[in-house]
Order: sequence, then C-alpha cells, then structure tokens
Amino acid sequence: MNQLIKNYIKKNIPSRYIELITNKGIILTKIPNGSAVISDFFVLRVEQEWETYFECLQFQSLLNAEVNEQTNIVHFVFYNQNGDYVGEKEVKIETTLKTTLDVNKIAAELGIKKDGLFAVFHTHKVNWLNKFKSYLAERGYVGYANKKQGPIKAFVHGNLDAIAKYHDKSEYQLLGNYSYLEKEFFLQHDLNPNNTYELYLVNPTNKTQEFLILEKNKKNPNTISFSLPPRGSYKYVRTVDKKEKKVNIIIKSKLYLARPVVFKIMPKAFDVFHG
Amino acid sequence: MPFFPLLSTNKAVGFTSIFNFSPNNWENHRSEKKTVWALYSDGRNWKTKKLDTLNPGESKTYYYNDLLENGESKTQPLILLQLRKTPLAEKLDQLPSQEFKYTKTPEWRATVGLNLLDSQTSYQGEINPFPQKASLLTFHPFIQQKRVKNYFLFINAEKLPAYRESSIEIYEANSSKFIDEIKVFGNHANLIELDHYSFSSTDLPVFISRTMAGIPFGLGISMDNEMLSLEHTHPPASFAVHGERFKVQAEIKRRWFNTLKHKNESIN
Repeated sequence: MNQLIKNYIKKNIPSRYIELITNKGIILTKIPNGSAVISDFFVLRVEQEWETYFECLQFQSLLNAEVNEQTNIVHFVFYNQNGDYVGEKEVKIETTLKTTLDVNKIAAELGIKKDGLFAVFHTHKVNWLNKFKSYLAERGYVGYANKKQGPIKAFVHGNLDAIAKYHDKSEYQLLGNYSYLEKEFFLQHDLNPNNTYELYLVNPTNKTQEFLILEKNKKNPNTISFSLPPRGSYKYVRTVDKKEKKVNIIIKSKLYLARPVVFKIMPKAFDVFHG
Repeated sequence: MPFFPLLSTNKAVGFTSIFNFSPNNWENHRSEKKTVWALYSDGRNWKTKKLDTLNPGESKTYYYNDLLENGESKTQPLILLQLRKTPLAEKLDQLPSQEFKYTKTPEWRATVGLNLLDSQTSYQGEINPFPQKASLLTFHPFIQQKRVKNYFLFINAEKLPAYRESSIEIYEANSSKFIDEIKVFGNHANLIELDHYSFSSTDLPVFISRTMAGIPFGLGISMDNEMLSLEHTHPPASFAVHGERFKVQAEIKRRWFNTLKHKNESIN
C-alpha cells in the first residue's frame, strides 16, 4: 500500500511542491502517464571534426535472453541547440545484439550539420516490464572520436532519463523535474592546467531554464549566464592555462541535477565522462 | 558506507581526486574539516594510512604508486579512500563505517582514473562494499577494432579483508557461446585482456560472475599508448527506469544465467 501511495504521489505531484515539505520526496524525473518508452538526451557532436557513434543494443533480445531473428527498428530524434526539433529517422538494426551506429551519418542524411542532442527510442514493447511498473529506457553508450584530439574512441553513458515517447500517440514528454528554488551543482572534478574542458549542459524540463556558471573560490570569478529552452543544449568551454591553478566549477539553475557531460581535451588525447 | 576507489593495473597507474565539498547545496551536509584515510587489504587485515586533512572546499589527488609501493604487496589490491573525523587503528578486521552524511542526488563522488604517459581517463565514482552473496551480469559494447588494446576491468570491495576468490565467465551473447573463465580476487582491481578472443564488431561480450559482484569497466588503450578510454558498463537494472527496477534486474539475471551455460554444464 505504501508503495502505491508513493507511486501515486510521484506520478501526480511535481517534485517542486513535494520539496516544500521534504527533500526526500524529490525525484529527478517524472513518471510517464501511460505506455511509453524512455530515452536519455545524448550529445551529438559533428562540428570541428567530431564523430558520434551509438552502441545500439537489441533490448528485445537482451531482456528476454534470446536472439531475435528479425531486424529491429530504433527511432532517432534530433534537436538543435535551441531545443527545436530538426529531424527524426527510423533506423533498421541488424539481428545481432550490438550494432555500432554512425550518428553523424544519420544526422547528415537529415541535413544536420551542427551539434545538438538526440534521443533513441526502441520500438519493441517488452511487456513483462509492466508487471514491475517499469519503463524501457535507453541510457546509452555513446562513443566519440576525433582524429585531431586522440587516436581512439571514448565512451560515455547517458546522463538522465530525459524524454518519453508514447506508444499510442505521436507525442513526446520531457521528464526532467525542476525546483522553485535556485540550486547549485558543484562539479566534483578538478579542471587542471594545460587542458581544455568542454562542458555540455542540457535542459530536460518543459520550461526555459536560466543557468549561471561560475568558478569556485575566485575573488572575481568569470561568470557566464544563459537561458536554455526545453531540449536545448549549451557548450561551456574553459581552457586552463599552464600557469593557472586548478579550477572548480559551480552551475546554478533550478534543475535538481544540472550535471554536465564533460569533454577533457589534453595535448594528445581526450576523455569524456558525466559530471 | 561510501569509499572512493583508487585502483591500479599493470597497464596504467591509478589516481583518485577526493573532494571536501558537496556536489549540491540542497541536501543536508555539514561543511567541516575531513581527514583522508587510505585502506587496503593484505589478505588478512585492512591496513590503514592517514593521509591529509582537507579544509571545506578543498580537493586533493592521490596516485596509487605514492601510497602503495611495489613490493609492499605482491598483487595490486584496491585502495579505498575514506573521509573521516576519528582516527583508525593500524589494522582492522573489517571496513569501518562512515562518519559523515553524504548526498544522494548525485552521490558524493571522487574522480577515479588511470594515467599513462600524458593521457588520463576517469569517471566520477564511489564504491560501497558488496555483499558476498551477490552476482554480476554485464554486457560489454566497448570493443574497438582499430589501433586499440581492449580490456575488461572489474573492481570489487567487500567488508572483510580476505582476497576471496571467484571467477568471471566470458560468453558471446549472440551465440551464448562460452569463451573463457578467468579467476578474479575480491578487494582488487582485476584486469582481463580481451584481444586474444578476437571479438568482432557485432559481437557482444557478456561477463558473469555467479559468486561476486563488483563494478565492471571497459578499458581501451591506444596502440601508441597515447590515449586511454574508460567507462563502466551498466548493470541490467539500467534497461528500465521507475517501478521495481531491481526486480527487473533479478529477472534479467535469472533469464541470462539460465541461458549461459558454463562449459562443464554444456558437456553434461
């Protein structure tokens, strides 16, 4: 019974109201109202010779522990940095359990030449998940390559279950929750001298969000503020000079979890991880 | 009981940056001085070392080789870093409890990474000791075909200091074919080389342990040693969100554990 009440509250009362009573009731993402499949927002990098790959796993087979003999279809949806829809494509994947998809190629076929976001929705229903009131979710793995920055791919998984696609209607729902109160996210990672850091921030909520990025413990910190519409993304770049000390970043917004995807560009290599 | 892992392998040396500041300003946390302790197991006891005291807002990076010199231990056990108020005895028979309240959204994390020549790779991580009665199932989509040496990295920490022995069974998921079985140890970072199995670009290696849980990673090292690539693989619960995810995980594990038969079972 307790679980039923908790689920009802989670599904029907926004976290920003619950937060006024207790922090413990906050959930980062909404529960879809109906039969849906969920995806994270993944960063698409096509500019400056970046290549983006998606390691697409056959969920139908993995969740049932059997190899499905039919080709499957996954649905890619793309958004530009302003959060505008810029295209979608149904991509056939092979019967094998893993297919590496060249996302730049898919984006290019849709005329997309700028960085942005993409979501991946599996079209197969996995009905036994309903028994546990769970939703099928694509949380990633995205591989990034850039011959100028390093010789091999680096991988990162998704950051937040951000968007739902309903099975019975052609609608999407943004799932990110936000607060009435400003929150601070302190990146627990030192930005070290002689590297350049590119931090990608995403707005998974249905409301335009204001962000402020500043550097911790600086008397005159460099600050950058910007608005990010729903589905929008922003790249913050910070090169830490050899002569500087390490830098720590604070991100202010009304998101409960404004953690960025971080690309660390070193002199001969790069790395990617989520904050 | 969060600890921050400091791992090392014979291919790249580990580092961990530890932070005395919360990742957010809205979950209760008391800002105060904290002392960093290192703990590692010699197989019989947890050995402890007091490191530094960090003021609120400070961070510090530790390198594995600075804390545990070659020869001090025959293998490369996992070092666990912990923030503490009170001192620890020189030897312990189990891991100590935490003394601070930590955040959940996100978890309070360290930067945990590997270093080789001028390249580093890292993830944001922490580790809670795993129960002994636990298992592992993970799919590994990180095999790179060109100019890369591919590894599976598996770290485990348990409350007791024993180097408990277990094994990782390796299968190819499309065919459910048994590939190999590798011995692994508790309270260690275990590195498994993958290239001699000749996985193709569409193969999906799957790693299972029926008697040990841990955190699995894909590690790639470029042939010229100029770049590292590290990312953890998901537990099966990540295929679903909301609801009873851990029951979903148990169901996926049950199905795969039944499907993936050990070579000895296949013969029978």
